[in-house]
Amino acid sequence: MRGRGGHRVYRRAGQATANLAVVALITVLLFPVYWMLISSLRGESQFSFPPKFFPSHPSATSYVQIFTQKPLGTWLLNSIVVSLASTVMSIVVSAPAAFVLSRFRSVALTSFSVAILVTQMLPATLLIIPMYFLFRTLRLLDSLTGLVLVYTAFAIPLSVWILRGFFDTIPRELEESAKIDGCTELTAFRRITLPLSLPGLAATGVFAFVLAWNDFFFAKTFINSQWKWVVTVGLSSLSGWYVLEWQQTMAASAVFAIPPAIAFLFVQRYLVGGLTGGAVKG
Amino acid sequence: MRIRHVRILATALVALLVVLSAPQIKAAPTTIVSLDFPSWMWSEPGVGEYFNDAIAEFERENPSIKIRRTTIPAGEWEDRMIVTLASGQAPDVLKLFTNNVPFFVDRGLLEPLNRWLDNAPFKNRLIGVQKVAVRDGKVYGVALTASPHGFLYNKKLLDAAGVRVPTTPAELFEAARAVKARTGQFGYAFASDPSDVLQAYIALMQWTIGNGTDFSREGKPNCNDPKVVESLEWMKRLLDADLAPRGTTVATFRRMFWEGQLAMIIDGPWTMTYVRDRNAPLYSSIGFAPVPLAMREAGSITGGAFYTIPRVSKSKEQAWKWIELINREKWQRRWLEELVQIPGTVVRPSEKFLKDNQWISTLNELAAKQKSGFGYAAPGFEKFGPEFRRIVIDHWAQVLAGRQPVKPAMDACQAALERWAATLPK
Amino acid sequence: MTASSQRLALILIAPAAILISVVLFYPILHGVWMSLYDIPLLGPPPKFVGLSNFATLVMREDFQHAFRVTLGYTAGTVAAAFGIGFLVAILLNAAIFARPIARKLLLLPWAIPEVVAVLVFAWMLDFQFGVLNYLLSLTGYFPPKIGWLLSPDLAPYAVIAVTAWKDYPLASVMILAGLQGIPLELYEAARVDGATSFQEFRHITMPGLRPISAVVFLLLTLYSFKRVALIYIMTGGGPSRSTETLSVLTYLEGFKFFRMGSAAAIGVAMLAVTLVFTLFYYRFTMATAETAP
Repeated sequence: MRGRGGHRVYRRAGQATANLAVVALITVLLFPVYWMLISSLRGESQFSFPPKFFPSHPSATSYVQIFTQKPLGTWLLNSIVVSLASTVMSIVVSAPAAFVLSRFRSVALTSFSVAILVTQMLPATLLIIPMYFLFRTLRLLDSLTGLVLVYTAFAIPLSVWILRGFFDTIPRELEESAKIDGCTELTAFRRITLPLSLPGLAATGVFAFVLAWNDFFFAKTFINSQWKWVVTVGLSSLSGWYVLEWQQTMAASAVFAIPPAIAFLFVQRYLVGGLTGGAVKG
Repeated sequence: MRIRHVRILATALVALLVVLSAPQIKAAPTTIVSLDFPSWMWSEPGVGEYFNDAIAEFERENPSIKIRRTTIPAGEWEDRMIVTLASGQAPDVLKLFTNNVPFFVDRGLLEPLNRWLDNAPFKNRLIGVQKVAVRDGKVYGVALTASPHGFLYNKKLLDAAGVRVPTTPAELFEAARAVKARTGQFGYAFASDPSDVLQAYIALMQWTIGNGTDFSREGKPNCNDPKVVESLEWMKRLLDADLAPRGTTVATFRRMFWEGQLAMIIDGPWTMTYVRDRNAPLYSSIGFAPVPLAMREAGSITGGAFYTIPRVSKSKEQAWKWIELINREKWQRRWLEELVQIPGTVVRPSEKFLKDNQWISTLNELAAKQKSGFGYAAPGFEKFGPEFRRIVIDHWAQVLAGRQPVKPAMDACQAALERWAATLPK
Repeated sequence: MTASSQRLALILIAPAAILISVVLFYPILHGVWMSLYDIPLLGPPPKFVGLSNFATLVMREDFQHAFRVTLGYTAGTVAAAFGIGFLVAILLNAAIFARPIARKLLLLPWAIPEVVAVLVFAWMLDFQFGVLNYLLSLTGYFPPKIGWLLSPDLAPYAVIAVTAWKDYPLASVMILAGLQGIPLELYEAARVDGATSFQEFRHITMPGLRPISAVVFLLLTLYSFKRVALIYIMTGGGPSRSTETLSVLTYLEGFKFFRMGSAAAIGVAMLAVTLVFTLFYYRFTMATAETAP
């Protein structure tokens, strides 16, 4: 039986205290986010000290400037295209694989799942050098397609793991009864299991998207042309040798942080199930 | 039925890949000449329009050639270019920082330009720094610009502090102190944030070379040379007295300078252009003088750039056409008079221009008198610049953090460099 | 499995398997191969050196230093992220009223891209104009300006702080799930027996969290060990190499000093350490699980 385990412990301490403590926690832990937003709206010179916590002349000019003075629009477009493409591809590729791992058993499959787990431990810095040479041979350097392939490959292990966890929770009897009614394995999967796993697919999609969206190293190493930059590379280039506009940098950062923040908010309910995948009793 | 589904899936995947690759396929016709410029050139005031106009003229004259620009931030330039060339993807015209030229020449990455340069109309007008690109009679690049560092000062702040333009480190220190005391602004600044290793090293170079020494001598490390130690001690004194701000990046102090919050810096002429464009009223109050160090005019280090053509380029003839165009009088003059930078060929400025921009004559003097030793790595270690700089700055960071005085830090640096140098391939 | 299901399974799993093999496994193998060579990025062709890259590795000052830094960084980050995550989970579990909104808000640092986190923290920790120095100076207990990113002593803590900020949501989500999985009867039974809150915590909550905590520790450790972009963008490994972990060193070795073979060797060493650690970890947690009540 699932219970709301810990809260009984604190009934004596008082709900009020706990809720107040949570508010305090939010204030401290989310202060950087607040500061980012405040800094982006600052009207006066960034060199004024002490910093004001509520800017006296808030102005959104930085948000305009990052699109007019810097190619944030181009960067955003590239980030969106690459992230969406790799998300779609990783789901399309991982769902069938997760289905197989969930419904079938064999030695080969077990080793495959172990292999997938091992990929979680691979250090990116070891991968990046031979990958660089591999992509050079495949003529995929300075190519957004190449990046999509990289991100898809990186997203597959976690996607398969999460989706398999979700598929495991859907009883095989549902598919069995569909098969008795004349469906094939695959149709049963498509018509019955898949729709029931929509939360899992959503969670996987978010993971894959955020993985691609946030990547810095591969985007920086594999892409040269400025018009192909994604936002992570563009953002880090803003602190250059000649101009450092903190207001603009913070504005661009805020804009860039919005999609993953929203995606996470929508899907956070399902993250627990996917991540713990069975480690939680009950 | 299952096979059909699989086929649909596979086709969708392939279609996706093709769609994503399409832009690459379209963008590779053979008449494209790709010119790689560091991104500072685009966002620097005036320079962006300059190149846009030049490119427009070039494409009008050569309808079969299109120029494709790519941009890379100045700070990543060296690493990015090395990696790009290593990946076999060289641009056709490669702009190189002056001090990267030996590195690329050593590795045989650049095409000798003699066969074109010998017949070029501008071949005898190139400025002195051109010799950097010459090796065994072969010319590997054409000078684009020379940017000797000088001493930039805000006359208004110095006058308010009641001091003259300093000519020695001691005078600089006193002037900075007076500025701080009487105006509240910082007197001097340099790159004191060790996380940008190259800029921090350049700051050290400004003082050591300005005092007639360097971090290497005759191919061996020279960190604990008394003159090096003395130069660094001056810099530390300025920090400790809070006359120069700590943890400052080069972008920050440049901005402070053109916003009128900083009295003196050692920097290149591009900062003058920034002042003129970002804070025009201040422009006439900014002076450009020889560095207030022992070597004066001969002690300024150089920035600057060259046009080169990588050996692996497939459009060398077309690339040369660009170099020829940009070295025409019209464009060289515009580089000087509109952008107030030294062009790659000698151009006689008009009287009016000299009057409006008096500091240019100082700039020209500096360019004429500086030695050609300028590498952003100590002489003899140019091939291993990044590592050399890292080791030096690792130890300088200890001084910046107040953990060690200069002399012990430089002794440790010397020992570390000697150990490292012993591991280098001959 | 029937023959036709076998074929189906093969077809379904093939794309994933192929992609991972080509993009992940082949480079790893290539990387291991590279570690046996001396590969300058430009210039002379690669030269076979066998295991000498590894032999010299252990002797190298910078490797030893990076190893120590990595240990410190990982320990600090895991402790901080787990600690904060634990606190957040406990409080969220107790605060029913605030929980729905608080849970979403407190998840934000996880969603925020690394690059953004670094930029924001770098700005807050700025020596001259950063807000943290300002707040600290108001308390009167701290010197007016502290160089968080400038001092080799303090920079590691700054980097740990940013990493912990990014990592705590993962810990909190999992620990919260663990908390909510502990059966209510256990607490009721304890209440009947007259246990205090503290005893309940110690004998029910903590053991109940053990399995999920094990997973959290493992994940946090693996993530910290691999982290490179965050550290590299924030400090580049400095000042004075004080934040130069093994992963940062690998990147510098390969892309700044252009010694690809040696960089690959460090990467292989890292992979080996990770595998060994995970192996021992599973052994250890399996063993303790068996002896758990």
